[in-house]
Amino acid sequence: MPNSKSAITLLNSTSSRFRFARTFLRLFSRIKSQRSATFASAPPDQLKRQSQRIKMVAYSSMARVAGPRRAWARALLFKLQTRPRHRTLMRRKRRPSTSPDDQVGKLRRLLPGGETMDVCTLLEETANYIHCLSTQVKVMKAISDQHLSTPN
Amino acid sequence: MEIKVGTVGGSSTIGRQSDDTGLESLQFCEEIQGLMTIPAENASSFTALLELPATQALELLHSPDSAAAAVVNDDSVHHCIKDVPKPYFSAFNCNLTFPTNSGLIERVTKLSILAKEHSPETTSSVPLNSSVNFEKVKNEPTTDTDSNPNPLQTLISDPKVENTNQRSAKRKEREKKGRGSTKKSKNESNEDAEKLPYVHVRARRGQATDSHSLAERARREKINARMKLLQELVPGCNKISGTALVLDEIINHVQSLQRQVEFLSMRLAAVNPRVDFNIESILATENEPILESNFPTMVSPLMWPEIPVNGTRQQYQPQWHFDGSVNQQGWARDEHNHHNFSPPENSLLSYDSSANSASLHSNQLKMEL
Repeated sequence: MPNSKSAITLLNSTSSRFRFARTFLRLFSRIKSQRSATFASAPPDQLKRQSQRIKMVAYSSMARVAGPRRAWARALLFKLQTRPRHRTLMRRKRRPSTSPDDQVGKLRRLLPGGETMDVCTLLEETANYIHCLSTQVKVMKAISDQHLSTPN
Repeated sequence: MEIKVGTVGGSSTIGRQSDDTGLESLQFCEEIQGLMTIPAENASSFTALLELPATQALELLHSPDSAAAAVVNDDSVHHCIKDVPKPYFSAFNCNLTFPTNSGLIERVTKLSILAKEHSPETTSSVPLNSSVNFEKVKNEPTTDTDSNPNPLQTLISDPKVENTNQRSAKRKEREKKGRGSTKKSKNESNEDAEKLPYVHVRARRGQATDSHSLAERARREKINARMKLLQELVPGCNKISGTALVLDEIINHVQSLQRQVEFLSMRLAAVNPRVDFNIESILATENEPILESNFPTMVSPLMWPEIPVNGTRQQYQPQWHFDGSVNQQGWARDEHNHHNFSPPENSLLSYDSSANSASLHSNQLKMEL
Protein backbone atom coordinates (compact mmCIF):
# COMPACT_ATOMS: atom_id res chain seq x y z
CA MET A 1 0.00 0.00 0.00
CA PRO A 2 1.71 3.15 -1.11
CA ASN A 3 -0.10 5.66 1.06
CA SER A 4 -1.57 3.66 3.83
CA LYS A 5 0.37 5.43 6.49
CA SER A 6 -0.71 8.90 5.61
CA ALA A 7 -4.08 10.28 6.33
CA ILE A 8 -6.73 8.62 4.30
CA THR A 9 -7.28 10.72 1.30
CA LEU A 10 -10.34 10.66 -0.83
CA LEU A 11 -8.55 9.38 -3.86
CA ASN A 12 -7.22 6.54 -1.81
CA SER A 13 -10.68 5.75 -0.58
CA THR A 14 -12.09 5.57 -4.08
CA SER A 15 -9.28 3.42 -5.38
CA SER A 16 -9.47 1.23 -2.31
CA ARG A 17 -13.15 0.86 -2.99
CA PHE A 18 -12.30 -0.38 -6.43
CA ARG A 19 -9.99 -2.88 -4.93
CA PHE A 20 -12.45 -3.99 -2.32
CA ALA A 21 -15.15 -4.51 -4.87
CA ARG A 22 -12.89 -6.39 -7.18
CA THR A 23 -11.40 -8.71 -4.60
CA PHE A 24 -14.65 -9.41 -2.91
CA LEU A 25 -16.46 -10.04 -6.15
CA ARG A 26 -13.80 -12.41 -7.24
CA LEU A 27 -14.03 -14.54 -4.14
CA PHE A 28 -17.74 -14.14 -3.93
CA SER A 29 -18.24 -15.30 -7.46
CA ARG A 30 -16.09 -18.29 -6.74
CA ILE A 31 -18.26 -19.24 -3.81
CA LYS A 32 -21.36 -18.64 -5.80
CA SER A 33 -20.11 -20.75 -8.64
CA GLN A 34 -19.23 -23.53 -6.25
CA ARG A 35 -22.62 -23.36 -4.77
CA SER A 36 -24.33 -23.20 -8.10
CA ALA A 37 -22.35 -26.25 -9.08
CA THR A 38 -23.39 -28.17 -6.00
CA PHE A 39 -26.69 -26.52 -5.68
CA ALA A 40 -29.55 -28.89 -6.23
CA SER A 41 -31.67 -28.67 -3.13
CA ALA A 42 -30.49 -26.38 -0.42
CA PRO A 43 -31.42 -27.36 3.07
CA PRO A 44 -31.87 -24.43 5.45
CA ASP A 45 -28.76 -25.55 7.23
CA GLN A 46 -26.72 -24.82 4.19
CA LEU A 47 -27.85 -21.26 4.11
CA LYS A 48 -26.23 -20.61 7.42
CA ARG A 49 -23.05 -22.22 6.34
CA GLN A 50 -23.17 -20.20 3.19
CA SER A 51 -23.52 -16.97 5.08
CA GLN A 52 -20.61 -18.00 7.24
CA ARG A 53 -18.53 -18.62 4.21
CA ILE A 54 -19.46 -15.32 2.71
CA LYS A 55 -18.49 -13.58 5.88
CA MET A 56 -15.15 -15.29 5.86
CA VAL A 57 -14.69 -14.34 2.26
CA ALA A 58 -15.54 -10.76 3.04
CA TYR A 59 -13.03 -10.59 5.83
CA SER A 60 -10.31 -12.31 3.94
CA SER A 61 -10.76 -10.12 0.91
CA MET A 62 -10.62 -7.14 3.19
CA ALA A 63 -7.41 -8.34 4.74
CA ARG A 64 -5.93 -9.03 1.35
CA VAL A 65 -6.72 -5.59 0.12
CA ALA A 66 -5.26 -4.04 3.24
CA GLY A 67 -2.03 -5.81 2.54
CA PRO A 68 0.47 -7.73 4.63
CA ARG A 69 1.87 -4.70 6.32
CA ARG A 70 -1.15 -4.27 8.47
CA ALA A 71 -1.00 -6.24 11.64
CA TRP A 72 -4.73 -6.74 11.83
CA ALA A 73 -4.80 -8.05 8.26
CA ARG A 74 -2.11 -10.56 9.03
CA ALA A 75 -3.85 -11.67 12.18
CA LEU A 76 -7.15 -11.92 10.39
CA LEU A 77 -5.78 -14.06 7.62
CA PHE A 78 -4.02 -16.28 10.10
CA LYS A 79 -7.23 -16.60 12.03
CA LEU A 80 -9.16 -17.49 8.95
CA GLN A 81 -6.66 -19.98 7.69
CA THR A 82 -6.07 -21.91 10.87
CA ARG A 83 -8.67 -24.08 12.43
CA PRO A 84 -10.68 -22.76 15.31
CA ARG A 85 -9.80 -25.60 17.64
CA HIS A 86 -6.15 -25.06 17.02
CA ARG A 87 -6.56 -21.39 17.59
CA THR A 88 -8.24 -21.62 20.94
CA LEU A 89 -5.62 -24.00 22.14
CA MET A 90 -2.85 -21.72 21.05
CA ARG A 91 -4.46 -18.66 22.46
CA ARG A 92 -5.11 -20.28 25.76
CA LYS A 93 -1.56 -21.35 26.01
CA ARG A 94 -0.06 -18.09 25.02
CA ARG A 95 -2.16 -15.48 26.71
CA PRO A 96 -3.98 -16.61 29.77
CA SER A 97 -5.49 -13.34 30.84
CA THR A 98 -6.13 -10.09 29.11
CA SER A 99 -7.30 -6.98 30.79
CA PRO A 100 -11.04 -7.27 30.58
CA ASP A 101 -12.29 -4.08 32.10
CA ASP A 102 -11.17 -1.04 30.28
CA GLN A 103 -11.98 0.13 26.82
CA VAL A 104 -8.55 -0.59 25.52
CA GLY A 105 -8.99 -4.23 26.46
CA LYS A 106 -12.33 -4.33 24.71
CA LEU A 107 -10.87 -2.76 21.62
CA ARG A 108 -8.06 -5.24 21.81
CA ARG A 109 -10.44 -8.13 21.72
CA LEU A 110 -12.39 -6.60 18.88
CA LEU A 111 -9.46 -5.99 16.63
CA PRO A 112 -7.95 -9.11 15.13
CA GLY A 113 -4.49 -9.56 16.47
CA GLY A 114 -4.93 -6.69 18.85
CA GLU A 115 -4.01 -8.67 21.90
CA THR A 116 -0.33 -8.36 21.25
CA MET A 117 -0.18 -4.73 20.27
CA ASP A 118 0.72 -1.79 22.39
CA VAL A 119 -1.69 1.08 22.64
CA CYS A 120 -0.17 3.19 19.92
CA THR A 121 -0.23 0.49 17.28
CA LEU A 122 -3.61 -0.61 18.48
CA LEU A 123 -5.11 2.78 17.76
CA GLU A 124 -3.39 3.07 14.42
CA GLU A 125 -4.51 -0.36 13.34
CA THR A 126 -7.99 0.36 14.57
CA ALA A 127 -8.18 3.42 12.39
CA ASN A 128 -7.15 1.43 9.38
CA TYR A 129 -9.43 -1.43 10.31
CA ILE A 130 -12.43 0.84 10.64
CA HIS A 131 -11.72 2.37 7.31
CA CYS A 132 -11.42 -0.96 5.58
CA LEU A 133 -14.43 -2.37 7.34
CA SER A 134 -16.65 0.54 6.40
CA THR A 135 -15.54 0.29 2.81
CA GLN A 136 -16.24 -3.39 2.81
CA VAL A 137 -19.68 -2.79 4.26
CA LYS A 138 -20.44 -0.27 1.58
CA VAL A 139 -19.35 -2.63 -1.15
CA MET A 140 -21.34 -5.50 0.24
CA LYS A 141 -24.36 -3.32 0.67
CA ALA A 142 -24.14 -2.20 -2.91
CA ILE A 143 -23.87 -5.77 -4.14
CA SER A 144 -26.72 -7.03 -2.07
CA ASP A 145 -28.86 -4.10 -3.09
CA GLN A 146 -28.13 -4.94 -6.64
CA HIS A 147 -29.03 -8.54 -6.06
CA LEU A 148 -32.25 -7.66 -4.38
CA SER A 149 -33.25 -5.16 -6.98
CA THR A 150 -32.48 -7.13 -10.13
CA PRO A 151 -33.36 -10.79 -9.89
CA ASN A 152 -36.95 -10.90 -8.87
CA MET B 1 46.44 -18.01 57.46
CA GLU B 2 47.70 -21.28 58.76
CA ILE B 3 50.54 -21.46 56.34
CA LYS B 4 51.63 -18.01 57.22
CA VAL B 5 51.33 -18.66 60.85
CA GLY B 6 53.45 -21.66 60.33
CA THR B 7 56.08 -19.81 58.39
CA VAL B 8 55.95 -16.94 60.72
CA GLY B 9 56.24 -19.19 63.66
CA GLY B 10 59.13 -20.91 62.03
CA SER B 11 60.88 -17.72 61.27
CA SER B 12 60.28 -16.35 64.70
CA THR B 13 61.48 -19.51 66.30
CA ILE B 14 64.50 -19.29 64.10
CA GLY B 15 64.89 -15.71 65.22
CA ARG B 16 64.56 -16.78 68.79
CA GLN B 17 66.89 -19.70 68.53
CA SER B 18 69.53 -17.83 66.62
CA ASP B 19 71.46 -16.30 69.42
CA ASP B 20 74.66 -15.22 67.86
CA THR B 21 75.40 -17.47 64.92
CA GLY B 22 75.71 -15.60 61.71
CA LEU B 23 74.81 -18.70 59.73
CA GLU B 24 71.34 -18.88 61.13
CA SER B 25 70.90 -15.21 60.65
CA LEU B 26 71.84 -15.78 57.04
CA GLN B 27 69.22 -18.48 56.81
CA PHE B 28 66.80 -16.12 58.36
CA CYS B 29 67.69 -13.53 55.83
CA GLU B 30 67.20 -15.97 53.03
CA GLU B 31 63.90 -16.97 54.40
CA ILE B 32 62.84 -13.40 54.66
CA GLN B 33 63.92 -12.77 51.15
CA GLY B 34 62.00 -15.81 50.03
CA LEU B 35 59.00 -14.50 51.81
CA MET B 36 59.55 -11.11 50.31
CA THR B 37 59.94 -12.32 46.77
CA ILE B 38 56.80 -14.32 46.89
CA PRO B 39 54.51 -11.60 48.09
CA ALA B 40 56.38 -8.95 46.21
CA GLU B 41 53.92 -8.99 43.36
CA ASN B 42 51.03 -9.20 45.69
CA ALA B 43 52.28 -6.41 47.79
CA SER B 44 53.11 -4.21 44.87
CA SER B 45 49.76 -4.83 43.41
CA PHE B 46 48.27 -4.16 46.76
CA THR B 47 50.01 -0.87 47.05
CA ALA B 48 49.23 -0.06 43.50
CA LEU B 49 45.66 -0.95 44.19
CA LEU B 50 45.06 2.57 45.33
CA GLU B 51 45.89 3.87 41.90
CA LEU B 52 44.13 1.09 40.10
CA PRO B 53 40.91 1.61 38.21
CA ALA B 54 37.86 0.90 40.25
CA THR B 55 36.93 -2.34 38.58
CA GLN B 56 40.24 -4.03 39.16
CA ALA B 57 40.34 -2.79 42.69
CA LEU B 58 36.90 -4.18 43.26
CA GLU B 59 37.89 -7.46 41.74
CA LEU B 60 40.88 -7.69 43.95
CA LEU B 61 38.87 -6.75 46.97
CA HIS B 62 36.10 -9.13 46.14
CA SER B 63 38.40 -12.08 45.76
CA PRO B 64 39.05 -12.30 49.45
CA ASP B 65 41.46 -15.16 49.24
CA SER B 66 44.15 -13.51 47.23
CA ALA B 67 43.72 -10.13 48.83
CA ALA B 68 43.69 -11.43 52.36
CA ALA B 69 46.59 -13.70 51.58
CA ALA B 70 48.48 -10.75 50.20
CA VAL B 71 47.68 -8.72 53.24
CA VAL B 72 48.65 -11.38 55.65
CA ASN B 73 51.75 -12.22 53.72
CA ASP B 74 52.79 -8.65 53.91
CA ASP B 75 52.00 -8.48 57.51
CA SER B 76 53.88 -11.60 58.36
CA VAL B 77 56.86 -10.50 56.38
CA HIS B 78 57.01 -7.13 57.93
CA HIS B 79 56.41 -8.46 61.33
CA CYS B 80 59.16 -10.91 60.85
CA ILE B 81 61.48 -8.18 59.82
CA LYS B 82 60.47 -5.60 62.33
CA ASP B 83 57.26 -5.83 64.30
CA VAL B 84 55.59 -2.87 62.81
CA PRO B 85 52.97 -1.11 64.84
CA LYS B 86 49.54 -1.08 63.30
CA PRO B 87 48.61 2.44 62.40
CA TYR B 88 51.84 3.17 60.62
CA PHE B 89 52.05 0.00 58.75
CA SER B 90 49.58 1.07 56.18
CA ALA B 91 51.49 4.23 55.52
CA PHE B 92 54.65 2.21 55.22
CA ASN B 93 52.92 -0.18 52.95
CA CYS B 94 51.81 2.66 50.76
CA ASN B 95 55.27 4.04 50.45
CA LEU B 96 56.89 0.68 50.11
CA THR B 97 58.86 0.22 46.95
CA PHE B 98 60.64 -3.01 46.51
CA PRO B 99 63.78 -2.15 44.54
CA THR B 100 64.89 -0.06 47.48
CA ASN B 101 63.66 -2.72 49.76
CA SER B 102 66.48 -5.12 48.92
CA GLY B 103 68.97 -2.65 50.25
CA LEU B 104 66.78 -2.21 53.25
CA ILE B 105 66.73 -5.93 53.80
CA GLU B 106 70.47 -6.01 53.78
CA ARG B 107 70.55 -3.24 56.24
CA VAL B 108 68.05 -5.09 58.35
CA THR B 109 70.11 -8.22 58.33
CA LYS B 110 73.24 -6.34 59.24
CA LEU B 111 71.40 -4.61 61.98
CA SER B 112 69.89 -7.79 63.17
CA ILE B 113 73.30 -9.35 63.38
CA LEU B 114 74.53 -6.33 65.22
CA ALA B 115 71.58 -6.38 67.49
CA LYS B 116 72.04 -10.01 68.21
CA GLU B 117 75.56 -9.33 69.07
CA HIS B 118 74.68 -6.36 71.17
CA SER B 119 71.58 -7.46 72.97
CA PRO B 120 71.14 -11.16 73.21
CA GLU B 121 68.95 -10.82 76.26
CA THR B 122 65.80 -9.86 74.45
CA THR B 123 63.29 -12.63 74.06
CA SER B 124 62.90 -11.95 70.44
CA SER B 125 65.80 -10.45 68.65
CA VAL B 126 63.82 -9.15 65.80
CA PRO B 127 61.48 -6.65 67.38
CA LEU B 128 64.12 -4.46 68.86
CA ASN B 129 65.99 -4.33 65.62
CA SER B 130 62.91 -3.43 63.84
CA SER B 131 62.20 -0.66 66.25
CA VAL B 132 65.65 0.74 65.78
CA ASN B 133 65.48 0.41 62.08
CA PHE B 134 62.10 1.84 61.94
CA GLU B 135 62.91 4.81 63.98
CA LYS B 136 65.57 5.45 61.46
CA VAL B 137 63.30 5.10 58.58
CA LYS B 138 60.05 6.39 59.80
CA ASN B 139 60.03 7.63 63.30
CA GLU B 140 57.81 4.98 64.64
CA PRO B 141 56.82 4.36 68.21
CA THR B 142 57.27 0.79 69.25
CA THR B 143 54.98 0.77 72.19
CA ASP B 144 52.78 -2.01 70.97
CA THR B 145 55.49 -4.37 70.01
CA ASP B 146 57.47 -3.76 73.12
CA SER B 147 54.52 -4.20 75.37
CA ASN B 148 53.74 -7.51 73.75
CA PRO B 149 55.95 -10.13 75.32
CA ASN B 150 55.15 -12.82 72.86
CA PRO B 151 55.88 -11.99 69.26
CA LEU B 152 53.68 -14.80 68.08
CA GLN B 153 50.68 -13.15 69.55
CA THR B 154 51.44 -9.91 67.86
CA LEU B 155 52.00 -11.75 64.67
CA ILE B 156 48.69 -13.43 64.86
CA SER B 157 46.64 -10.70 66.38
CA ASP B 158 48.05 -7.77 64.49
CA PRO B 159 47.18 -8.74 60.95
CA LYS B 160 43.52 -8.83 61.77
CA VAL B 161 43.47 -5.34 63.11
CA GLU B 162 45.59 -4.23 60.29
CA ASN B 163 43.36 -5.94 57.83
CA THR B 164 40.43 -4.11 59.22
CA ASN B 165 42.29 -0.84 59.06
CA GLN B 166 43.41 -1.38 55.55
CA ARG B 167 40.06 -2.71 54.54
CA SER B 168 38.33 0.31 55.93
CA ALA B 169 40.73 2.54 54.11
CA LYS B 170 40.15 0.60 50.94
CA ARG B 171 36.44 0.76 51.49
CA LYS B 172 36.53 4.50 51.81
CA GLU B 173 38.58 4.66 48.69
CA ARG B 174 36.18 2.42 46.86
CA GLU B 175 33.24 4.48 48.02
CA LYS B 176 34.91 7.56 46.74
CA LYS B 177 35.53 5.91 43.45
CA GLY B 178 31.99 4.64 43.36
CA ARG B 179 30.62 8.08 43.96
CA GLY B 180 32.81 9.43 41.24
CA SER B 181 31.71 6.76 38.83
CA THR B 182 28.04 7.30 39.60
CA LYS B 183 28.46 10.99 39.10
CA LYS B 184 30.17 10.31 35.83
CA SER B 185 27.44 7.93 34.70
CA LYS B 186 24.77 10.42 35.62
CA ASN B 187 26.47 13.07 33.62
CA GLU B 188 26.82 10.71 30.69
CA SER B 189 23.17 9.71 30.83
CA ASN B 190 22.12 13.32 30.87
CA GLU B 191 24.24 13.99 27.85
CA ASP B 192 22.81 10.96 26.11
CA ALA B 193 19.31 12.10 26.85
CA GLU B 194 20.09 15.44 25.38
CA LYS B 195 21.57 13.90 22.29
CA LEU B 196 19.22 11.00 21.84
CA PRO B 197 16.16 10.26 19.87
CA TYR B 198 13.38 12.63 20.73
CA VAL B 199 14.77 15.75 19.27
CA HIS B 200 11.36 16.87 18.20
CA VAL B 201 10.06 16.71 21.72
CA ARG B 202 10.98 19.89 23.47
CA ALA B 203 10.51 20.25 27.14
CA ARG B 204 8.69 23.40 27.96
CA ARG B 205 9.28 25.33 31.08
CA GLY B 206 8.72 23.31 34.19
CA GLN B 207 8.58 20.01 32.41
CA ALA B 208 10.81 17.15 33.25
CA THR B 209 13.78 16.70 31.00
CA ASP B 210 15.08 13.25 31.69
CA SER B 211 14.81 10.66 29.00
CA HIS B 212 11.96 8.71 30.51
CA SER B 213 9.59 11.59 30.76
CA LEU B 214 10.59 12.76 27.31
CA ALA B 215 9.77 9.36 25.87
CA GLU B 216 6.57 9.20 27.82
CA ARG B 217 5.53 12.59 26.54
CA ALA B 218 6.28 11.56 22.97
CA ARG B 219 4.20 8.44 23.43
CA ARG B 220 1.29 10.43 24.80
CA GLU B 221 1.43 12.83 21.90
CA LYS B 222 1.45 9.93 19.49
CA ILE B 223 -1.57 8.38 21.15
CA ASN B 224 -3.38 11.69 21.09
CA ALA B 225 -2.72 12.06 17.38
CA ARG B 226 -4.08 8.57 16.77
CA MET B 227 -7.14 9.34 18.82
CA LYS B 228 -7.74 12.45 16.79
CA LEU B 229 -7.50 10.47 13.59
CA LEU B 230 -9.94 7.93 14.92
CA GLN B 231 -12.29 10.69 15.99
CA GLU B 232 -12.33 11.98 12.47
CA LEU B 233 -12.94 8.51 11.13
CA VAL B 234 -15.80 7.53 13.37
CA PRO B 235 -18.94 9.49 12.61
CA GLY B 236 -20.40 11.52 15.42
CA CYS B 237 -17.26 11.25 17.46
CA ASN B 238 -15.99 14.75 16.98
CA LYS B 239 -18.05 16.40 19.61
CA ILE B 240 -17.25 13.94 22.33
CA SER B 241 -14.45 14.84 24.63
CA GLY B 242 -12.71 12.47 26.93
CA THR B 243 -10.66 9.48 25.98
CA ALA B 244 -12.92 6.91 27.56
CA LEU B 245 -16.03 8.12 25.78
CA VAL B 246 -14.25 8.33 22.48
CA LEU B 247 -12.97 4.82 22.93
CA ASP B 248 -16.46 3.66 23.76
CA GLU B 249 -17.73 5.23 20.60
CA ILE B 250 -14.99 3.63 18.56
CA ILE B 251 -15.74 0.24 20.04
CA ASN B 252 -19.41 0.63 19.27
CA HIS B 253 -18.62 1.64 15.75
CA VAL B 254 -16.38 -1.34 15.16
CA GLN B 255 -18.93 -3.68 16.62
CA SER B 256 -21.69 -2.23 14.49
CA LEU B 257 -19.54 -2.57 11.40
CA GLN B 258 -18.75 -6.17 12.18
CA ARG B 259 -22.42 -6.86 12.76
CA GLN B 260 -23.19 -5.19 9.47
CA VAL B 261 -20.74 -7.43 7.70
CA GLU B 262 -22.38 -10.43 9.25
CA PHE B 263 -25.82 -9.25 8.34
CA LEU B 264 -24.81 -8.45 4.80
CA SER B 265 -23.18 -11.78 4.34
CA MET B 266 -26.36 -13.42 5.51
CA ARG B 267 -28.30 -11.35 3.09
CA LEU B 268 -25.95 -12.18 0.29
CA ALA B 269 -26.26 -15.83 1.11
CA ALA B 270 -30.00 -15.61 1.24
CA VAL B 271 -30.21 -13.70 -1.97
CA ASN B 272 -31.04 -15.49 -5.18
CA PRO B 273 -30.37 -19.10 -4.52
CA ARG B 274 -32.47 -19.76 -7.57
CA VAL B 275 -31.12 -17.06 -9.82
CA ASP B 276 -28.99 -18.71 -12.39
CA PHE B 277 -25.50 -17.74 -11.84
CA ASN B 278 -24.18 -15.66 -14.63
CA ILE B 279 -20.96 -13.87 -14.02
CA GLU B 280 -21.33 -11.64 -16.98
CA SER B 281 -24.71 -10.48 -15.93
CA ILE B 282 -23.60 -9.97 -12.37
CA LEU B 283 -20.60 -8.00 -13.42
CA ALA B 284 -22.57 -6.03 -15.91
CA THR B 285 -25.34 -5.30 -13.53
CA GLU B 286 -23.35 -4.94 -10.38
CA ASN B 287 -20.31 -3.02 -11.18
CA GLU B 288 -21.93 -0.14 -12.84
CA PRO B 289 -24.37 0.46 -10.08
CA ILE B 290 -21.62 0.13 -7.55
CA LEU B 291 -19.53 2.63 -9.32
CA GLU B 292 -22.10 4.99 -10.64
CA SER B 293 -25.44 4.77 -8.99
CA ASN B 294 -24.57 3.69 -5.50
CA PHE B 295 -21.34 5.40 -4.83
CA PRO B 296 -22.29 8.90 -5.74
CA THR B 297 -24.73 8.79 -2.90
CA MET B 298 -21.77 8.44 -0.63
CA VAL B 299 -19.12 10.19 -2.62
CA SER B 300 -19.59 13.38 -4.47
CA PRO B 301 -18.97 13.09 -8.20
CA LEU B 302 -16.09 15.53 -8.07
CA MET B 303 -13.94 12.83 -6.62
CA TRP B 304 -14.47 10.63 -9.59
CA PRO B 305 -12.14 11.85 -12.20
CA GLU B 306 -11.61 8.28 -13.26
CA ILE B 307 -15.24 7.43 -13.75
CA PRO B 308 -15.08 5.81 -17.09
CA VAL B 309 -17.42 6.26 -19.92
CA ASN B 310 -19.58 3.26 -20.40
CA GLY B 311 -17.56 2.13 -23.35
CA THR B 312 -14.39 1.86 -21.36
CA ARG B 313 -16.38 0.52 -18.49
CA GLN B 314 -17.25 -2.44 -20.59
CA GLN B 315 -13.60 -2.98 -21.15
CA TYR B 316 -12.89 -3.23 -17.48
CA GLN B 317 -15.14 -6.10 -16.88
CA PRO B 318 -13.44 -8.81 -18.87
CA GLN B 319 -10.22 -8.01 -17.15
CA TRP B 320 -11.82 -8.34 -13.78
CA HIS B 321 -13.24 -11.63 -14.60
CA PHE B 322 -9.98 -12.62 -16.14
CA ASP B 323 -8.35 -11.93 -12.83
CA GLY B 324 -10.91 -13.86 -10.96
CA SER B 325 -11.01 -16.89 -13.12
CA VAL B 326 -7.43 -17.42 -14.02
CA ASN B 327 -5.20 -16.08 -11.29
CA GLN B 328 -4.70 -17.64 -7.97
CA GLN B 329 -4.82 -14.94 -5.39
CA GLY B 330 -1.87 -14.30 -3.27
CA TRP B 331 -0.17 -11.48 -1.57
CA ALA B 332 2.33 -10.86 -4.26
CA ARG B 333 -0.27 -10.84 -6.94
CA ASP B 334 -2.48 -8.54 -4.97
CA GLU B 335 0.29 -6.19 -4.17
CA HIS B 336 1.23 -6.09 -7.77
CA ASN B 337 -2.28 -5.21 -8.68
CA HIS B 338 -2.48 -2.54 -6.07
CA HIS B 339 0.62 -0.82 -7.13
CA ASN B 340 -0.47 -0.83 -10.68
CA PHE B 341 -3.93 0.24 -9.90
CA SER B 342 -4.37 3.67 -11.27
CA PRO B 343 -6.88 4.53 -13.93
CA PRO B 344 -4.66 5.08 -16.96
CA GLU B 345 -2.60 1.99 -16.35
CA ASN B 346 -5.68 0.07 -15.70
CA SER B 347 -7.21 1.13 -18.93
CA LEU B 348 -4.08 0.02 -20.70
CA LEU B 349 -4.18 -3.26 -18.95
CA SER B 350 -7.77 -3.71 -19.72
CA TYR B 351 -7.13 -2.92 -23.34
CA ASP B 352 -4.50 -5.57 -23.53
CA SER B 353 -6.33 -8.11 -21.57
CA SER B 354 -9.63 -7.51 -23.20
CA ALA B 355 -8.13 -7.57 -26.63
CA ASN B 356 -6.37 -10.78 -25.89
CA SER B 357 -8.82 -12.46 -23.70
CA ALA B 358 -12.20 -11.37 -24.86
CA SER B 359 -12.74 -14.46 -26.90
CA LEU B 360 -10.81 -16.61 -24.46
CA HIS B 361 -12.83 -15.18 -21.66
CA SER B 362 -16.17 -16.06 -23.16
CA ASN B 363 -14.87 -19.53 -23.85
CA GLN B 364 -13.80 -19.86 -20.27
CA LEU B 365 -17.13 -18.74 -19.08
CA LYS B 366 -18.83 -21.38 -21.07
CA MET B 367 -16.39 -23.92 -19.81
CA GLU B 368 -17.06 -22.92 -16.26
CA LEU B 369 -20.75 -22.98 -16.59
